[in-house]
Amino acid sequence: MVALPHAGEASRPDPLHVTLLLATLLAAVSLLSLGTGAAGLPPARLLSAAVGSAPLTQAETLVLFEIRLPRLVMGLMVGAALAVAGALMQGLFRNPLADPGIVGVGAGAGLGAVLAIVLGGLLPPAVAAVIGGHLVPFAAFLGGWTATLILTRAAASGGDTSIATLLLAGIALGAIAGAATGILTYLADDQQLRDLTFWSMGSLAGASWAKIATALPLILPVLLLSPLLARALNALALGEAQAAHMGIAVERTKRLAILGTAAAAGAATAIAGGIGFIGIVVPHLLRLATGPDHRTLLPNAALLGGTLLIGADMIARTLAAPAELPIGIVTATLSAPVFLWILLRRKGLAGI
Amino acid sequence: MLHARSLTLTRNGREVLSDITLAAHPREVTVIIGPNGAGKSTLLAALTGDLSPDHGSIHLNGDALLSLSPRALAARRAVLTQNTPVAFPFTVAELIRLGIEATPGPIPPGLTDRLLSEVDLPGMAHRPYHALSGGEAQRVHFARILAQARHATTAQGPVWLFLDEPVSSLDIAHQLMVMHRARRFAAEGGGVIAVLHDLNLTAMVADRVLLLSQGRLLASGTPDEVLTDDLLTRAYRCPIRTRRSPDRGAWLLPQMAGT
Repeated sequence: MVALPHAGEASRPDPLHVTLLLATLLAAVSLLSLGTGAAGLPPARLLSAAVGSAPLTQAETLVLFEIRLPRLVMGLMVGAALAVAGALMQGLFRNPLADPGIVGVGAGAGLGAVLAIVLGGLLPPAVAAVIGGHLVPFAAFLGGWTATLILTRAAASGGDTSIATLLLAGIALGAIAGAATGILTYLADDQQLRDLTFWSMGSLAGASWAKIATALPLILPVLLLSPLLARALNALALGEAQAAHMGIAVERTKRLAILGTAAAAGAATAIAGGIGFIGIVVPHLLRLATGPDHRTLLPNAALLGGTLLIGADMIARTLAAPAELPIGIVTATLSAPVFLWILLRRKGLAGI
Repeated sequence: MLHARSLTLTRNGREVLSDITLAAHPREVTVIIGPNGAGKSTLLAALTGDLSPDHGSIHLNGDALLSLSPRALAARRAVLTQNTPVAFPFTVAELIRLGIEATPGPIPPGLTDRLLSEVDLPGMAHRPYHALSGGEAQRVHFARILAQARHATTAQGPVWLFLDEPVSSLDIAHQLMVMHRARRFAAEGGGVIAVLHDLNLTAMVADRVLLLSQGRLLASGTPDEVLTDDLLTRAYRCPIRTRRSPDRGAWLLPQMAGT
């Protein structure tokens, strides 16, 4: 019998080809991003410098290594972290619309940042001197982390973590954080309000090697180690009991996925503010292209998330040049319609 | 061997299993029957390790069930649950691969295609799971657990299939196909434990029958010993009359029950 292709067949491209394509795309967008900015220094100039035909001047070196490169690295890091955190959370919740924002990691991080912005001046000078410019990112990370700890504690009963309780606890945490943020916003003065607004819209403008150094120890392990959870997350898509039947240590998998999400999403929110939709849209697009297998989904999400965010950052920098749009606005403008389109397209097809 | 001794299990303050002692043997199909709410699925969940009993012990091939790691347990038994919602748009082949990966060891070439033919879904490997009918989906999951239990025996002893109402969405031809495949698994040296609602199908395929009623084991034995007017009438609280055919054993017609 000849196997005829069926209309309903899912044709999946070779995962390795997709990964290579995404890596190439990432390299191209990175080069473009490095060659875009107020100080000139186009991509062609960078290439000729790279091959050694025309070395960079001191000013150009400064622009490249102290402004553009940290911004590029931070964009890649944050985009990859948000996309991988989204994919992890969706695998954990068995729901393609789940997002770290939903379980309160984003809300907790936000509250931490707002606390730091509004009440940071009350810190003893000695403490403030030590923490210095890291206060807001550090507080945001702490807030996200605390939210995750409360969350896992609230949702754990008798060794089990109930997904439904987790979601409800996330809603409650979001409400608490929202209320506290509201009170603090009310207390804030004009300058603090401006800082709050910019932080909540998200930005890569403050990129520095120091910020990267505070977030990298949290983000990098998640990016590198999350594929180890791939088989367990695949099995978990069939339900917890079914995953256990297939030899998965379910509770351990859930704990690790929660930890990974909190670390990646908390650290990303801490250094770049509230950047939405990357965590939902990137895994969604990849599932459409290459299927839901987490073995390819997680590494590809890191590549596409990074690419998408530095692409959005380029738009944010050039659209209103020499002024800059907050990147959160750009990602929302680009991604929210995609998200809505996915939602409408999926309706009735599979349980969301 | 699967041994359960004095199993008692309480859920929400209600004793759903009371002092159940049973044994199931490899090379046999053991069928659990009983009315709704008798505790059939709870018993199966206890035997697979999903629920831990309040009292009693379960030993699978000589090892205490709860002492085995999930990985070790997955190599000894595969479970077909009543409902298996699939969260993401997997294809049929990707789901079967989950079953294959659940147990270590070499993978026979062409395993997926062979299993799909065995459940009458030839050439469906690349179909999206969500486009399948209920009966097709149930057979895909059956093929998935056959992939997990691709060897009926291992160095650790027989491998077990636990089937919770495996034919609930199937037409009669596919019901027979699935149960015959389960019988073949037993003939190859594995053990099969199934929860069934159809008493005639039970009479056809079972080597041993466990009759549950109100959380207690009312009777266990061969189909001829358990599928009797008296026991069935007591268990189902409804007058049931069975007939015997000389070559196939007990059978009953639903219209002969209850009058």
